[in-house]
Amino acid sequence: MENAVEVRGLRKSYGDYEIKGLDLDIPAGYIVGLIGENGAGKTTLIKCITGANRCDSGIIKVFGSSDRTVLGKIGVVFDECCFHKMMSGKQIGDLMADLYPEWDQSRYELLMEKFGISLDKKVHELSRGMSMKIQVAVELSHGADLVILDEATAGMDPASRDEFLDIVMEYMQDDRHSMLMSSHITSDLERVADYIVFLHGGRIIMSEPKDEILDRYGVVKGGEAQVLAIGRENIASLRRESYSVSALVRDRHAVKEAFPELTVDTASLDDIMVLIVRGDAA
Amino acid sequence: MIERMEIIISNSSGKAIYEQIEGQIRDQIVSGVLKGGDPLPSMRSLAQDLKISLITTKRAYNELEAEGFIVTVAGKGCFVATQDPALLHEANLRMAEDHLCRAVEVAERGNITKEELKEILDILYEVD
Amino acid sequence: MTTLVRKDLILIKSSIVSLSIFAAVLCFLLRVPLVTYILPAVLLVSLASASIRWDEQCNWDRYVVSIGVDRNTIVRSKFVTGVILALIGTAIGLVISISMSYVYDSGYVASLVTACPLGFIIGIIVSSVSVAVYYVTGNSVKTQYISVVANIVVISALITLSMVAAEAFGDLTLVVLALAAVAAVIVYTCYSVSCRRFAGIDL
Repeated sequence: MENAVEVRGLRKSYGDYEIKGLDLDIPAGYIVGLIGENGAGKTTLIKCITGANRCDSGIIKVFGSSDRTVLGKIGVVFDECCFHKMMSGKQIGDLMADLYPEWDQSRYELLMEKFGISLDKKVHELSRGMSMKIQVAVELSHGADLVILDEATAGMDPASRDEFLDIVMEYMQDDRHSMLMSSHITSDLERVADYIVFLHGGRIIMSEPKDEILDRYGVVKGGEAQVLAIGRENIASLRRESYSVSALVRDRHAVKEAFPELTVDTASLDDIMVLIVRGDAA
Repeated sequence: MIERMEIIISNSSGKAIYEQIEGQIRDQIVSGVLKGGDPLPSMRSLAQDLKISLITTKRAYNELEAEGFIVTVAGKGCFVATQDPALLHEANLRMAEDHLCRAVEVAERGNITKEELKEILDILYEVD
Repeated sequence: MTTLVRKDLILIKSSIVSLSIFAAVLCFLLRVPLVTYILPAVLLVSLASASIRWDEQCNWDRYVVSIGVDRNTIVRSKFVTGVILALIGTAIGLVISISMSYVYDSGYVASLVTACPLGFIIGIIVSSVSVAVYYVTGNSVKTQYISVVANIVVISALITLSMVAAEAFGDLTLVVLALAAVAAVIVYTCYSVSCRRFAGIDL
């Protein structure tokens, strides 16, 4: 199974941080969800993959090639509308038709209709969520085999996000399509992602299939002595709260079996993120 | 697509999700709810509907295909394989045996004799 | 690349109209022949560097590079936009001077042959220098000032050189040709510098 994207040994300094020796694969046909706190390097990583950033070192291959691929094979949606605010939906469509060899005008118009955006409205007349939707409509209409979304749903209301995810899943029905999706809205990733990559301080600290993460990780709450009794090697992260201690465990089934008196809950991606970022590594 | 196919996933069962899916589809094929030639949902749409990942549904389908329960037709998707009646019968026998095993366990614990158990079996067949 | 140029021109359209009107008013008020040929072109080409500013505001370059457009192509499109604007500006200058020769009598039209290309040449020089300044200094507040200063320096140098050449050659046509050659060198240098700078930055 080939990879849509292969990153090997990426190094890049950004702001006060640095990405050091990062490896990442996006297998063809799958959705990789990228999570991490602000400043963890998600956008930097994405920009390195797309070529907007110059990397200090490392090899990045998209569809097996280090050179930029055929125009139109990659679609990118960043967190702000990239079209000039005086452009209308129709002008954007015409522009893209000129730019992309495989532009599908009917699909673009269909998506714009689904999103409820009139082609006559200019970007500055639209809300932020709607301007993001235009970008999504564009990126799904030029025959891209890889679509990268960087916080694309930030600013969308829940109903719009739901609709957006449906459209994303429709795009993924074709098993030649791949996707990299970076988001703070972890519930979206819990719904659609196949793999989850957790970026923290420029390093990948977790890269696993989503179902496994959600099945295996758990949160144990209790008094400090109780929780520590599980054993430090079983605890991924510990957080001391005002009246109790929460621990992130990597194998909740095992912990539940060994310590039936403890409360072991399933861990959501949010729980995992918060506990790792704000807790102490055990 | 199958409206009759039912898959219910449990978070708290110790069984891996792909195993649950595989088992439930297999049971429905063996029991005849899903018949040979019936189309199955694509791996991606099944994943979407069950809110799990493609990796899991793919694994379940791969296992089912390896066991001969389903076939993949290139460009068309996955379908229930026409089952060999003898193999199907054997699979059903195994399932019945599993259930009977549990009945026997209960019987031994509750001091129920084999004859009493056989009586129950007769009554059940009559009712059917 | 034509797509990028087209996009810029579409967005600039209304500004071209307003700047042209502004230029016409100034020309009619000032009544200096040379200014009439040069001013419209110089005003209009400022829109080329303005378009770089607008692109940066909405991170358009980041998008275009990400989908696979070559960085040099993006730079080239700005230079081409500048050339087109210089052409339009020169044409507008022509229209203005012909109108002025009806309104006021004078030899406005007489020096057309040499003055027209002059406007165009100065236009593309100003455009290239301004665009290059943008790529070299990035889009900061002082960029516009640096751009103005750079242009003044270059133009003054050129005017001085032209006067010297006019003395030496006597024939104005030769001077204009010499200027055109110098302009070509300037444009090429600005383009190379811009490409090199743009190739190395993070978007």
